[in-house]
Amino acid sequence: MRLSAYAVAVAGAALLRQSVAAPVEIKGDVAPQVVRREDLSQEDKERLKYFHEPGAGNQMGHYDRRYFKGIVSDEERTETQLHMIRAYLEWFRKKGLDTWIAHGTLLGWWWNGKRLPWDWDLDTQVSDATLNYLGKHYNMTTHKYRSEDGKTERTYLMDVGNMIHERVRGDGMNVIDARWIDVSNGLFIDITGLSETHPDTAPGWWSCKNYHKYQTSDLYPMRETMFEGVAAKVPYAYDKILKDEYKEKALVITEFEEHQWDSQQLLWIKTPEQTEKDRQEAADRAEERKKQEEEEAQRKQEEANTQQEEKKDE
Amino acid sequence: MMSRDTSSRPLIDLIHDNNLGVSDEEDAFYAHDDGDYLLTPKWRGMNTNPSTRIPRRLQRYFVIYVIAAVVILISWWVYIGPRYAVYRQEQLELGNAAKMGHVKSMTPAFKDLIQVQDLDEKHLPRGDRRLVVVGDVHGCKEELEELLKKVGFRDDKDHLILTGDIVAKGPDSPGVVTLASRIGASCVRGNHEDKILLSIEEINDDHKNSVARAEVDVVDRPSENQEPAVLGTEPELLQLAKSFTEQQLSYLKSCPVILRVGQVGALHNVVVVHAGLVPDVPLEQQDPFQVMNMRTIDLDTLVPSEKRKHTPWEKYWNHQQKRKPAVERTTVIYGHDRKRGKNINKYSMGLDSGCVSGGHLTAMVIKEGGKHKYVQVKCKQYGAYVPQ
Repeated sequence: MRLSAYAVAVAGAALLRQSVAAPVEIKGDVAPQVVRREDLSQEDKERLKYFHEPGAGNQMGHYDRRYFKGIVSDEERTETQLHMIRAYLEWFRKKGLDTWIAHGTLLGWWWNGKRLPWDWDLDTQVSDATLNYLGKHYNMTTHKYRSEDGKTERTYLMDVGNMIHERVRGDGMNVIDARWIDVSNGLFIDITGLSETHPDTAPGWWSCKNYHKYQTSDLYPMRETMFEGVAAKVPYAYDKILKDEYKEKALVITEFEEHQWDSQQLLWIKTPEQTEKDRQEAADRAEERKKQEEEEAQRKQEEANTQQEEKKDE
Repeated sequence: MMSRDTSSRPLIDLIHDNNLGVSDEEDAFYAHDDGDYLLTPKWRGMNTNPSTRIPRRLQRYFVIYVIAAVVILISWWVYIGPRYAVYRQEQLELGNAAKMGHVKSMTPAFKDLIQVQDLDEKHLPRGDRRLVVVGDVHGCKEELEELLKKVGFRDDKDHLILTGDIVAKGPDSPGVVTLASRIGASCVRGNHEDKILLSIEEINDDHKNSVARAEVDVVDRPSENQEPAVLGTEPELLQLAKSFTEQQLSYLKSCPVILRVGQVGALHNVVVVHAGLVPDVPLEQQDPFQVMNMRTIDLDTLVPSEKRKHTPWEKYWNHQQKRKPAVERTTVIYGHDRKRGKNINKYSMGLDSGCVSGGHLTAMVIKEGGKHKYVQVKCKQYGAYVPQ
């Protein structure tokens, strides 16, 4: 009797050990496959990406491919961005949707309530709730805009990406959630949604898909202020957010990207050297164009001549 | 046999190497009595020579002087020296920072936020009229009443100024606001008033928007199961925000970020803020968030911070005021920094002595000509301190 009890106990223990130590078999797609941006081929990247640009870098990376017609001049970019952000902020306000300015755009606001003149794009943020709402109700809607003086008319496209429900970086191909695009030249505002990605382990921390992290108490309650002449919202602790992202230097440095801070006019002014350089470049471009046109005209002339001669020969 | 031998000689002869025959007429007889075995006979000789002799009193002083010198040296090495080095370094850094100068940026204004306001001249201390400035009250109404009684506050003659954070944490925030507005007190906007007023704005905003949204082509709101207005606002704060009447809220809204008191005798220009100021920046261009939140200033960039890792802002403030002509000097009276407590310097007076966490409530009573004194009352312990 006692012996059989021992036998059962020993057998039981052995079985338990075996079942605990046995490797768990993973079937099919249960284990998440980690895809990194670096591992992707160019083709994959294109396929996975929602928003497309005509190229990369400062020049080409800031246009939407569908509406890109060519690199715009500095003046047109400034003009476009000014109306674009006004239209955006006014539209959100009218619809009662919350949005606020972020990153370089927030830094520009801190200095003088205007964009930083060298900034290639504008950045705004929304909460994930607002982002979903935008996707549901306003995706691919166009909005007509007329400036206050009536001189400028533009059309903007509200384009919400198809990956807005993925709230982490993932493969890194869709860190921008939505765009407000000027359809006349393809320049846009980047809209990123913030979500509380880990409410269990890190409650009160909001994050965008590019790993910018914010504490709820630094974001809310928002402050209402003015940006480029229209009402805009900025996060509660705008100062802290700017220092965390750009360090204290960004709030005191007076020379940046060939621009200098003019403390009398309270404006960022392009340095004389850069103005000269830009002028030179513009002149060079004009010369090149002229040359090309001349060559073209000459070629056409020659063609016409040969055709005429051919006709004569006939 | 032996005894017989010795009996024939005087015993004294038996003493080996006897020197009992030394005459007391000789110097050597007294030499041992000096008890001085440290000095060579030559030096001793010099000292005993009447023409070169050092008086005994001086000899004693010499020892005292040596001990004192040793004590001074040790305390220099251990305590004063390092402190002096730190002080020198600090002065150097402050001086360097001052040389750097300020960049004047122009951050846009905020809606419903008064940046600077001047105190009505009639409230300035003249004759027997006094100015009473009180640190962070945080809803401790009983203590405020007690303090005013102790000061002998007369509603018709004296003027009360509160350094902000008059609400939150403590037992009776609405009561404090009502009391302040009844006696016509001036106030500045603290970080707590700021947060409460912004939260209320956000709630009202949301309400407005829900009406606007109904007019738009959709019915459901962007966030059906969560109120965006509640985001980032601690439930207690929201509850507190809702407990104020319209009147109380409009009193809080009327508090500027910076209250310019004016010229008060020896205190020169007096300004009241909640947290602090950056010297050499016009009041209109001070960053309001920092005026309500700063604790330190980064001397490398002169950017203030709400954190504690840099130099206390008031150190740089005082350093800069001392270098200005008297008419340009400004004294700041402020609160906010409970941890450093009552913090009195020549050109800055920190009055937050942590009333709500069981410390004191402090008043600075200013008389004509800028003469002033401090009056305190002990506060009850109102539960655990809730970090902001």
